[in-house]
Amino acid sequence: MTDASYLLSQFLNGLTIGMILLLIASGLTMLLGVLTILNFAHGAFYMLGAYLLYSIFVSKMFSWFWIALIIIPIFIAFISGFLEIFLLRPLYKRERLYTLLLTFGLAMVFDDLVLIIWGRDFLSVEVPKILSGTISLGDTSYPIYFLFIIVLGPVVSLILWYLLYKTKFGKLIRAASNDVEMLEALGINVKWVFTGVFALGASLSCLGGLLVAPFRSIVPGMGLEIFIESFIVVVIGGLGSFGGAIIGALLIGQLEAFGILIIPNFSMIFMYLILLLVLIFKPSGLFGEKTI
Amino acid sequence: MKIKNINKIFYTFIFILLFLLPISGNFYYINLFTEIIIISLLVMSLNILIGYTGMISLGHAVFLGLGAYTSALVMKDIYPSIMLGIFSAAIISSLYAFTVGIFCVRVSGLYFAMITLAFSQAIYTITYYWTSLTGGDDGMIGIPRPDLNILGIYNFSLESLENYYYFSLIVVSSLFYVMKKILDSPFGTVLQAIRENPERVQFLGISVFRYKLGAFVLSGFFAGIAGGLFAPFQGFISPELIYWTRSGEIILMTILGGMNSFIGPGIGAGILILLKDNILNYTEYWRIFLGSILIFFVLFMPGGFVGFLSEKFNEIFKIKK
Amino acid sequence: MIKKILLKLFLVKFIFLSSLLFSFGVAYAENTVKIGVLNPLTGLYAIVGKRASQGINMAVDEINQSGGILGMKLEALIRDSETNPDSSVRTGKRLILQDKVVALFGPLHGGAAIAVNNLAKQLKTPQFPWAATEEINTTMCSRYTWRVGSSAQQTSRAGALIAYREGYKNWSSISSDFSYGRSVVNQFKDYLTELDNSSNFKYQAWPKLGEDDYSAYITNIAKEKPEALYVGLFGADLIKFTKQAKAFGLFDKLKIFTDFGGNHIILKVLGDNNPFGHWASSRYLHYYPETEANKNFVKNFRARYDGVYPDMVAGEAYSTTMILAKAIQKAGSADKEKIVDALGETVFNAPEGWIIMRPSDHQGWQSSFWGVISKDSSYDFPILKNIQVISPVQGSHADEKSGQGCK
Repeated sequence: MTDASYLLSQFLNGLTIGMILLLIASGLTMLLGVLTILNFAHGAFYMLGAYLLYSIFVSKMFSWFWIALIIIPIFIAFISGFLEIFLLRPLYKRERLYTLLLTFGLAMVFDDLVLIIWGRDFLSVEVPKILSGTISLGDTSYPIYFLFIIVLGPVVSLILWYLLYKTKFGKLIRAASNDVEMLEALGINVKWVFTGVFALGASLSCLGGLLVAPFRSIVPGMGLEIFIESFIVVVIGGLGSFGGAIIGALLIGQLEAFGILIIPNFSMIFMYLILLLVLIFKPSGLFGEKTI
Repeated sequence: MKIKNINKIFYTFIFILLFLLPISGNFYYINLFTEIIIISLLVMSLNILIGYTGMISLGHAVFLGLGAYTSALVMKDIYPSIMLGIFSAAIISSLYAFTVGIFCVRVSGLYFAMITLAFSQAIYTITYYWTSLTGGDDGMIGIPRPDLNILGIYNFSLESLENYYYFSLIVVSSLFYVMKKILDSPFGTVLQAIRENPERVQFLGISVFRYKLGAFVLSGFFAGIAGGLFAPFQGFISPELIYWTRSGEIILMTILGGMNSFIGPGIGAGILILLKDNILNYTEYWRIFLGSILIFFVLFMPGGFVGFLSEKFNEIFKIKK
Repeated sequence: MIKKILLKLFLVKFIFLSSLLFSFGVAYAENTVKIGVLNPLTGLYAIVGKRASQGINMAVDEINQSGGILGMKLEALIRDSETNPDSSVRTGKRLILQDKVVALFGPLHGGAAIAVNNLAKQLKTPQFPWAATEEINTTMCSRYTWRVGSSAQQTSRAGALIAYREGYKNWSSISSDFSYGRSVVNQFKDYLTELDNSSNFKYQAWPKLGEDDYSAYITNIAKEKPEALYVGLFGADLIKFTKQAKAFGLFDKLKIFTDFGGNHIILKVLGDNNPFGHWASSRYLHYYPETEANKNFVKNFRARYDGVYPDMVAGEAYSTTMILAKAIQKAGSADKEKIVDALGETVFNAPEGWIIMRPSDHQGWQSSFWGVISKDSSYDFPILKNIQVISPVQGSHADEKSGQGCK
């Protein structure tokens, strides 16, 4: 393999990882920016996305993957909205410690719940036929499915950008992340904005899980690892900053792809070093504006 | 009778009960309660931050890990003395708390929570990947439990379950006594004032930063000792001790017991460990039970178990607050 | 004020009493022999965890139906090791101290097995780990450690023999960076180098245990262009890696030797993602050897478990239970020390062939199987063909190089 195609392959690997991280991190950062909560159960939605894809996969429906791509995020949006209304709303007026604990408890519940519903057997999902196979890049080959994810990332980002900057709902979200009380004073029912943001974040997260299910494993606890990784992305990028989440996710993705070359075991430690440097010198993150 | 005296009687009573436990001969429970005693030290140390100073640390498990690995490494590679192990654990943890605290304590609220989480995960990652030192995710086995050398004359063996139980009980109880004295002193009062209104405290000319840092180091000191006791107790340690879900469990214990009292978190440790143990007798799905209990407590019993009972008690006997 | 004291006394009594009450809720039957099983029911190795339970339960029922052991019923307490050392140690302690088991089975995870090994030594209980990691029958071996299943030495050294026969010299390897992962590759590399010192290992990938994304490693391996790749990944990690490697078209570029990739459940789950035409090993095969013992075992297993075929973990769990039962019978008592004394040289005609518990390193001596992954019309899952049986004489270390006597 020539150096050029090798570098390209690793770069694409990094992009794939980055796009998945972006989906989860964007939800997490919105929750932090707008609701000022750190949602420990955010990874649980990622996990549910994967498990639900399995369920749709085994139903052997026609175009199962494409149907799943649409209905699973919508389904999770409803479930998460439901949870937010009944479990989180009562806690907003209290100290943030309580929402932290509640989401932590929720993460625990979900980890066992998937075992109870889907059992302990190993679950495997196939890549949809149309996206399987490789494409040749110079003198090497690259999986089409990964390229699909890489393309999907910007598409979703564009949709999100449009939502945030060109719709009324988006305006409300941005306003809420700036000054909630003012928004309330203007007569807007902020409660529903919160629910909307929570549901949006959860459905983005589950989309990430759904996309990785065919090539990663579908296990309880998969949410815990991805939570920490997206947490790092969010802190580096800046709380509440969507653009920051994009940069952070891409950065971490590349680090994970190329890191194993340069310093095999220490690429992860390097990532934490960057995180700590950001926290020490610019706690609001590379692109964040406010410090809570 | 003053409240202070009642508490004293209460604590003495618990101590006596715990002291008598080994007579039951039930090795499993002696083992379990040793763990409860050690972990209660850990949880109480966290409460210095959460309950007294109002600082929510999401990375407290790091001290458990630092203390455990320090005492294990010291006893294995330097000199097999348990007091040296515990002492080193305390020093390293306090040093870490001081160094890291300088950066963490500058910020508060959610940021403080996140920075403590970040630091503890960083240490977890280092512990996980530094295989040559820590054994990586295979963990470290064969942690010795050397005899306790009293005044250079008498050797008290800590090999047996009962003996280590007594050792932990005595060490932890003494530390509780010290902790209580510190928290009842003016230092503790300032911490509580900081919890209520940091700006006012700053206006009074007191350096909030210094007191918060002091609380952080103090909390790290006690937590490190808990880690130092834990390593020889279990004989085996792994990076799992530092993973963020561990920190969550510690906070869970604080809330279960009640963060508004001194001993509450200690009781919370007992409740959680016993609860988890009991649940495991019936089902492997302990997470869904504990998670639901936590959700229930957060929504309906924020004062924790102790707080809840106090309230109910007051209602029944109509005691004015 | 007195009321406050009462409140606190009540609180304390409540906690103590409820905990003690609950402890009596666990009933003890006096005339049963209990085995504690640390099984990976969740986590990385969950894919095989259930199989182990099936193998053990079947063995336990067979033993009880033919009168039990020494007139007592056998009972297996199967607990989740969660595929990590921490949970394994705590659960192991529980099984020994509270449930008073006479022996511990498992864990399967290398690091967990070593940690529990230490615990078993402290609490003087025989342990039968299923992990193949080499420390178990060498440096960590104690009086109480007995491994029925193959060691990394046996299968990897067998693999080296096959690799040598096939003539591959330029190698790459990929295995998880922990005790077992390293054992598997080191044993293979050392023996292959001994057989053929022109063999070389240019790039060795050491992803962390539980790694989700192997794409960077796969790209690196492809770049080095080795002739062959030795894969020491196990459980869910192997599934993830194989799927991702296939997506990158790695199978067309080199020959893959997967240790334990021939395990039935792995072949079944991977289905069309299997590297057909490549080599893989298994500790047990339900279709080879076609002895009466094996055929009966498979028939009974399928009848009991809805037509499911036993995989290597099920076969091994079954054999472990049987060997323990034999040892207890031989010892004439359920006393842990007497059982340990009786274990050396215990022989069992397992479905896979004869297993002898070698006294010098407490390792079960048995053959290893390597074969080529192929489709077969009589099954709806792939199997191994062109099976090479490597006897323990060829595969294992000679007596002197093994355990230090396992004191």
